[in-house]
Amino acid sequence: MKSEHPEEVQLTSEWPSDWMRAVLGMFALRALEQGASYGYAIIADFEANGLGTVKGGTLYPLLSRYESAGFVSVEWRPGDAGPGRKYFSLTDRGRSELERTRSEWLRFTANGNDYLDTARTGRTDT
Amino acid sequence: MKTPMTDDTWIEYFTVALRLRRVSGTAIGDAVASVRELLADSGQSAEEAFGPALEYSASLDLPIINPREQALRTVLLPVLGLFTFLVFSLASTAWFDRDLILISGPQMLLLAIPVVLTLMFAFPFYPRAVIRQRWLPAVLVLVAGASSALATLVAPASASDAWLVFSALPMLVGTATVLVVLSVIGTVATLRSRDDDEIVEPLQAQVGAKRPRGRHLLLIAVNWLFPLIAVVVFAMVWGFSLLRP
Repeated sequence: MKSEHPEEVQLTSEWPSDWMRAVLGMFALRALEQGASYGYAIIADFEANGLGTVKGGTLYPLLSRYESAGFVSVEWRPGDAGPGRKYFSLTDRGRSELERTRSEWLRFTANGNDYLDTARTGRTDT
Repeated sequence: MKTPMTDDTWIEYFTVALRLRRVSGTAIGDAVASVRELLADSGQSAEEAFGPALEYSASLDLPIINPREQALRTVLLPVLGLFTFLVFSLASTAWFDRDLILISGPQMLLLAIPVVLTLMFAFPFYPRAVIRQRWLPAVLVLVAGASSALATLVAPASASDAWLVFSALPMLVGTATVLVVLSVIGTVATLRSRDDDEIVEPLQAQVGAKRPRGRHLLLIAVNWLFPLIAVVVFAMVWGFSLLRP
């Protein structure tokens, strides 16, 4: 999910909160697709991929709901100091949810991009 | 100018807010550890990373303690235990004195007042009102005390004046049985709840939440206080009856 235009990403470090609210759940599942991860690593992954800065107060309630819904499982692992780290992993149910939302999202954005491009080039189908 | 809140103060507010939402101790321990983890990783302040503690506590969908089970453990069993213990004590005295237990109708009604006032703590509105209205606890104590005092004044003088007449022995056996049954129910509730009130570190909870053995035994022993005291009272009344000429 690396951006092809890093220079644009730097200019747009924050996205409209409405957009983020809509897609954060899907992004959180995507962040766990390659393996278990923890809160700060997920937030850092979003930032590194130009998705903006997500606060812990936004991410943790979402992950807590996903834990209740059975999309993610959790495991505390001991850290060097402090209370350890809470690792989140995708469950089979979470993986299916990611596949479902990803394919729908890609279809939606493809339609949306087509529509926006049509407006820019002055073409109309109707 | 508003003074910035320290992370420890924020975590205290957060813990209290979760307590007020009846979140279980294990879930509070997990949520607080998650906060500490992110603060250590990000270097942010708690307010910066999570916003106001009250709002953040409301946004988390955490498991709560069953209010009915909590009411059973904290109010219903102790009150029923106390009431049964008092009747047991009366029955013990009456048995050694070879007397009957006499209760009049007005006496029964007056004795019911403190019991009802205590049992109402099982309903959430009642403890909230008692905490908010500072004059209310004083009024409750006065009403309970006055009704108990009045109950002794309207005690029947003879069996013909009494509404209820009990033989001491069945009452003694019955109340002793109820005390044991209530203690068994309390012990089962304590074991089943796995001490939900206690805030547990998540790593400790994950490896089986082994509580200190002493604390575990103490929690179980508390359920058997009334039967233990009843045995002591019974022995004392017996001893006094032997000393009498």
